[in-house]
Amino acid sequence: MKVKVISDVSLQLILINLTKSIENINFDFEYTENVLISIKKLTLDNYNNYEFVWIHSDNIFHKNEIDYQLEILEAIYEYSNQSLSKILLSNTFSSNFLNSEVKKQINEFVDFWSNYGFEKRSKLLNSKNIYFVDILKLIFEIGLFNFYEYNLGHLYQMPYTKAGIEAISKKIEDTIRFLKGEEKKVIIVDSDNTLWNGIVGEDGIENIYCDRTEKGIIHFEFQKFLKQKLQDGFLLCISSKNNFQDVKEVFDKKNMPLKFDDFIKLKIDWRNKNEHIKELAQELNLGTGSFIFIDDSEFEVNLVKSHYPEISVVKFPKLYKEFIQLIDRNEFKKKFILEEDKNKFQQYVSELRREELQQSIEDFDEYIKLLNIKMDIKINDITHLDRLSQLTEKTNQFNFNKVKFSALELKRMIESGDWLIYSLSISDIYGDYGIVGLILIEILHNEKKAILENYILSCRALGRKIEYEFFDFVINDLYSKGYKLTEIKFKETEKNKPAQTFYINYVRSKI
Amino acid sequence: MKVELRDLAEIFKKVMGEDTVITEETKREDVKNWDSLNHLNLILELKDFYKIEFTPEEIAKMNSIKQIIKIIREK
Repeated sequence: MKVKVISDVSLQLILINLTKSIENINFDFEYTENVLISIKKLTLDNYNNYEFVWIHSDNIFHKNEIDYQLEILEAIYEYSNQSLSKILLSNTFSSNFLNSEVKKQINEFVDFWSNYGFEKRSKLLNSKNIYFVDILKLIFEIGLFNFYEYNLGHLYQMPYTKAGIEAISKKIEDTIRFLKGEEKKVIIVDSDNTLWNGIVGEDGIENIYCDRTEKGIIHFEFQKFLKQKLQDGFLLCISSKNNFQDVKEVFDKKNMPLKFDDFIKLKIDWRNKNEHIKELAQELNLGTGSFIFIDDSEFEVNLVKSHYPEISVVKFPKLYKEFIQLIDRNEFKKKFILEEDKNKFQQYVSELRREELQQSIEDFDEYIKLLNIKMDIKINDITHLDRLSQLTEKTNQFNFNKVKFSALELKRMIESGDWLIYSLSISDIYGDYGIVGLILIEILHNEKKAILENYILSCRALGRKIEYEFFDFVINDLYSKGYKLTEIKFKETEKNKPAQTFYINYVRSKI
Repeated sequence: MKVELRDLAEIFKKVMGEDTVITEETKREDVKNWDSLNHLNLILELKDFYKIEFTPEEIAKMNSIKQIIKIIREK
């Protein structure tokens, strides 16, 4: 993994730490007195293949002009638009910053990020390959004078103490691991002493607390936090050893931030929680690696941990301070949030309705007919490249070869004129699925040949015979354009069983 | 402040490499990894170990074990 580092202070000691803690990482470190110029230089270099670019400036605020600071942000934004690298941007105080006119500069700093910076910053945050690394928060946590080493900073451009170096290293390591790792999608929570204070079966509903009192405050804030996560596209489930009616009654009678309907799946009975989790994985059709499990009981926490080491298991905290640390964890963050993700809850609800329908009808073809599925296929549509890129990254089961494409790569492919990118949206009587599939075709103009680079269909569109119709549409369209499909890039992976079946039984008979 | 050569030897191993051996007579040019980066690293470790601060002038002077011991002893 190649990482470019641009910084106006010396980061060597941090990079040494990171080289030790992250496997196969290679740094290309550029010390610069002017970050702006270095970023612009990087923009001109089209052929670098850095997986990450880390831009660290401890002197952004050295120069007082707001314009200069905005210019840096603008340059980073520009670079992000044409780069495949993920950009880590760490914002800090300047180590020079507190030497003189402290108050005036702090005011300017706050002013900058809250007013001038806000619009630009939100633009950056919406850009899917820029990631803010909040060094400022580290400074607040460990204290300014524990963080900065002023002597070395002024004399040798190495402004951090040992604690500061360790804190930054850890933060960058966490960020890189998060960006490379599997994203969490589902939050599974216990009810008693987690969603609320008290045990409903023993204490009775009148002694359950989830409000702004001393007894209920952490639980109240936790529910508010989960409500926010729901909006970010996480799915919420309950796993509780309880009587179903007792838990339902709490939601019916108590006015809490979360409603019973906010949970997509409920596992409320007296079985072990590892069984709950097994069922949730099957019913949601998601790998347990995308789960977060939160429970106040040491026993349950350890049980789940031992059965499913890939799940992020969290013991619900007793102290408010621990609660703040909990909600700040990377697991609860999305790498980027697309419009598609925000509708996720609605989509799963529709899916449940469909399952109910399917169970009530014996004949599968009849079921498909009743759904009244409408397909909408677009060719080289550049308006949803982020979603298409996300499909290439996230889809496992129906994915011909698991080669990933960034939005920028897809854009370049379309612009080259050598590619046809078919994207599929579907809807039925229960709602919109959004964009669920794509077929990538490379055209060899001279030979009048076409190569299928990849065929990807989201799992929520599987089991509806759509895979056949979409494929046939593409074959026919190519034929009408005068191209013959001569090659299909299929590669067996550990997870693409559904694609294998389709490839063997259907596709091979077609070419 | 009291300084033990033993402690310094450990810190030097950590910063300059496991095979580093020092005596009271060792100078900067005798230690192969004692470059400017490791000098900064050394200062950070000493600061952390003895819980003391160094002035810029002291940092520049600490080019031999003798000097290091002298400067820390004066604290």
